[in-house]
Amino acid sequence: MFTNPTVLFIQVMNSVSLAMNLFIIAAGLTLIFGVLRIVNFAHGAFYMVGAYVALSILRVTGDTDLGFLLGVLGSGVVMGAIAFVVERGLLSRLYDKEHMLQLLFTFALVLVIKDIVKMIWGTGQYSIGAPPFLRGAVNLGITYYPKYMLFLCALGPIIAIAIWFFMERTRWGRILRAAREDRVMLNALGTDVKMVYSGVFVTGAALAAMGGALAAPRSAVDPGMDALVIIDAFIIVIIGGLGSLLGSFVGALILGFLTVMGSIYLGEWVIVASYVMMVVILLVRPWGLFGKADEERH
Amino acid sequence: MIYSKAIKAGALALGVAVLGTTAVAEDGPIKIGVILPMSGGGAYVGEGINAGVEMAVKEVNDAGGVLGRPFQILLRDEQLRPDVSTAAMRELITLEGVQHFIGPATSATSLANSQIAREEKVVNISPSAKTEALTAGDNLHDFIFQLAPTTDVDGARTVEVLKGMDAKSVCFTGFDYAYSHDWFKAIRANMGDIREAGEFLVPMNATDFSATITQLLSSDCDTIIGTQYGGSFIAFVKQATPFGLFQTKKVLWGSNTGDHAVAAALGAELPDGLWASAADVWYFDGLESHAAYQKALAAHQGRKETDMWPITGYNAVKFLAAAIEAAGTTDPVAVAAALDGLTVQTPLGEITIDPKTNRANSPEFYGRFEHEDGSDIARMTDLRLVR
Repeated sequence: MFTNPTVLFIQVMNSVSLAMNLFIIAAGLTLIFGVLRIVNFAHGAFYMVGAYVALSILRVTGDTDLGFLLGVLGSGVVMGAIAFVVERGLLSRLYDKEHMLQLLFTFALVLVIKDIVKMIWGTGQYSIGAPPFLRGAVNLGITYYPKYMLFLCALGPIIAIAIWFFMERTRWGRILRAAREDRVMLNALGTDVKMVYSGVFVTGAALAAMGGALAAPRSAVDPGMDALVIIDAFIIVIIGGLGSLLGSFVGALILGFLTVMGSIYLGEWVIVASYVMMVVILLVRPWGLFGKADEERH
Repeated sequence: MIYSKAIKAGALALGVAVLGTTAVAEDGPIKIGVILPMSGGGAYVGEGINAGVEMAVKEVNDAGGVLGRPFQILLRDEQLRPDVSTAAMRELITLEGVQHFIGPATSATSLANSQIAREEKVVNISPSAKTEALTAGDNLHDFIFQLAPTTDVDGARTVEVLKGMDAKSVCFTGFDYAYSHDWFKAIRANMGDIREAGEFLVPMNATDFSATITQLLSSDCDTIIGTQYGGSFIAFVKQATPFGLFQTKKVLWGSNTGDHAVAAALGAELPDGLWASAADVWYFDGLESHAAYQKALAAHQGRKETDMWPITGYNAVKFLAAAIEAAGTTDPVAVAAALDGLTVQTPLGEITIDPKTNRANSPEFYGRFEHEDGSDIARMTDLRLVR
């Protein structure tokens, strides 16, 4: 198969494109866990809401480049607003409770969101096209390649660098890192930790929603679209290290390559392979490739 | 002694109460257990089939019911999961006393529920599952009836369409599951001089098909035969289009992707020239009975452009009603016996259940999608109702 360098190149690009789409979703999940220490089962539901909101916006704006941009940004804004209400009204009451309650809450959130989506948009299937300027393929010299997949290849690293810059090079980023390390101390120093937590949850949810809107031109918008992506997102953050942005980036690349290349060589075993890889990494480094062990934290 | 008499009296009273309840039940509505996917990605299928069930039940009840008793629908969500589907069936049998079932929707859930129908001796009409395995070999029993055309029938029909497309060599692609394997096997058995150039399967429920699309493009076949369904088919089309797959290969798709719901979801993105099949299309005008059915369905659903799934549920109810009427009782053993060889007039003509295989000879539409008259939603042209 890979005696043909053009085919190999396309499959590598396919892997990177898939990885970057997954990274955008996983980044929000790892951000929420990294600061709030909450495993958010509802992340896939946020992703689904994002796709539906983008669909509704595009129905109003029409199938235009600006409409698509508004759809992606609007999905983040709407989901962020919903997440703010959920976090302030409900989730914040569980921060000091046991983890099981937090898990049950986010799981219940999945069920509630799915029913609301069904009530608003029904059970039908919908489609969002790529924006007009990203339709078709572009000549890369050795082959033509879909513009939209190239766009995803570029967008992933841009988002990764933006989050990294925010976390490592801004005052707000330092506050977030401090909240991750010791929220009691941060609170004692006069920082409103509640608002920090709200901001992180809103940002994570908005990233998931924008990931859903960005994935829609390559998939169907339907009530089951959350179920599979949440599994991939968890695999990525677990192998990369819970709470590690770099880990999520590398984890997404590993899963992207495994999914694309594995489907050629492993067939149906590719699904098992992703779980086996996760188990092996956890056996060697229980805290993931780029995560920190508890003793490293303290 | 007094204590013993009290127990006997209590037991007698309980017996009378139970018998009394049974007598009431014989006069009450006939319960139909309807088990369909009503949530998640398969919900549009379940809601469609259920719409057909509801419409047929209303027709039956408005006409005075069956044996003077109305039908009552007890709907359960199977979530496309065999464990959930079987639990729902057992609950309906145990707690509701249901003896007649329609559903589940898919091959996997139908195979699981059929075994319960065998154990509990309740009638199970499958409206939409296509796998041959449901009514083949040891899986065939007296209480399971399969209305949708099975993969062996589909395979032979598909080859006729392939010949009409002038296909010389084919590649197979789709989910790695029973329907793909059975359908491809049936096509291979019938395709004669048409050459096979490769098979490229993806794991069940995969959402990224870019690797497979690249493989298909670099393969030496002029025609692609695929099986992804519903949202997965939509995703495949959207991922394959920018690679130019539909410009370089002829494409024929199974899994009832000729359904209007698929065309409506993809809109202008659905490539012209793609061949597909469907259990029903609302725009077929070749039969008066179909026109009348579509008119009633449009009124029931509040829209003219209906999907293909309702007809499967509609026909299932019509078969059940006719069988109970013929048996003169709701006893599932007698009803199952009445279903053997039963012929029912449906919107698409007479359909008969083969008493040897328990499979119905349901027809299906085949056609080629085209966007006509500037419409955003494609329709199947060269439409043929294959029996």
